[in-house]
Amino acid sequence: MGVLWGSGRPMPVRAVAAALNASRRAPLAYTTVLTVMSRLARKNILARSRAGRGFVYTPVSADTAEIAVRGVLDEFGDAALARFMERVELDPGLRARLRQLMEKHR
Amino acid sequence: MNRLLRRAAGAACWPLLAVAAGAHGALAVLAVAEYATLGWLFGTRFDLAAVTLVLASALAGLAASGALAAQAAGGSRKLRRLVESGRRPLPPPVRDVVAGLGLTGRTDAIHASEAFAVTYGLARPRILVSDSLAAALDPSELAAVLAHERCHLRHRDPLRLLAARLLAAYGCYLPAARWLAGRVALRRELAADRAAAARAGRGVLAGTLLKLAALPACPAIAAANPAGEAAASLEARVAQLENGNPPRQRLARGRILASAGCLTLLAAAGACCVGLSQALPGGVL
Repeated sequence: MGVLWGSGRPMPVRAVAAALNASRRAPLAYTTVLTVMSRLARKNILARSRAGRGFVYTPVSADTAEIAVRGVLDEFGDAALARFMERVELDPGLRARLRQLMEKHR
Repeated sequence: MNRLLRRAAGAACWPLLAVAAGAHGALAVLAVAEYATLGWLFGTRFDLAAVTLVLASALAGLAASGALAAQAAGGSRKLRRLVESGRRPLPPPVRDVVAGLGLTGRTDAIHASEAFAVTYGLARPRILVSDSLAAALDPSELAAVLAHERCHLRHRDPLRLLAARLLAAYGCYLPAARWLAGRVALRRELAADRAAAARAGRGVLAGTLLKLAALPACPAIAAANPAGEAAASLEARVAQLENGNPPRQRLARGRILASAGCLTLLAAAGACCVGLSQALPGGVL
């Protein structure tokens, strides 16, 4: 995570592994880094997107505290939490109705 | 008249369900006693099936509601600890709105790149906002969000929602149970929206919903909430903003019939359990 936060741009697994191994006496295998990054992507800590023939990874959260916040809200689910708004993709119809309401009650 | 009847049915529904769950639990204890005393020597296979059904349904309900209670308790504790360690001073625009709404001392801010506002805590609910929310919204929109959350806080909605979901989890095999818990959540959202619209205006609330929906979503949070339910909830909230009245929520006829069928089967099995108790030493009932 430190390497990805430091770089500030999406990185492929090979670049992350190279950056990690630059300061290690016993280098980490490419597959080890790939496995860890895939798991982090599955837990939504990293976002994976296609770049050419491979994938690049971007951190979803800005720091460890934010990862903790997301983890807790995620784990909490909707058990005992009242959220202002669920994250939901607005369909164009609903978007237009909300715009109309804004205009009408301006 | 119809409206009054519906309201009375709505008010009586939850106490009745709680009593039914309690009675079911008592029958399950009786079923355990019958198993322990009669072993496999039940009179007929029908008796054995009835006692097993009562016991299995109670165990399934207990397991589901126990898992939910553990999740809620664990999440609540972690969130409280997280807020204690990561609490930040309220951003100035939030502080002003919070003071205007009488929420000083009951609102916390933490750092997160996603704009969110939640009400949490069962005994002493509090409001949590992310600093990104303050950055994304103007003061009138912040007032709409915080007035919405104040309604949740005043009515202890986290506790109400948990109670409804625990009861629904106990009856997880009934198709109507999940619908009922969803209905409670939606009604509370609609009530909070009415409070927000009264404070900030319908237009501002509509603009706030539009603005927040356009911000990048947090995939982890999105995954925790079934997309269909969230979309249906937003649809109902927009309909209420348009008409001023909450839309009616209907339960599909198929679900009503399936739930009624399950309940009849359980009632018959329960009656059989009570009948069998005559065979227990001393006759329990």
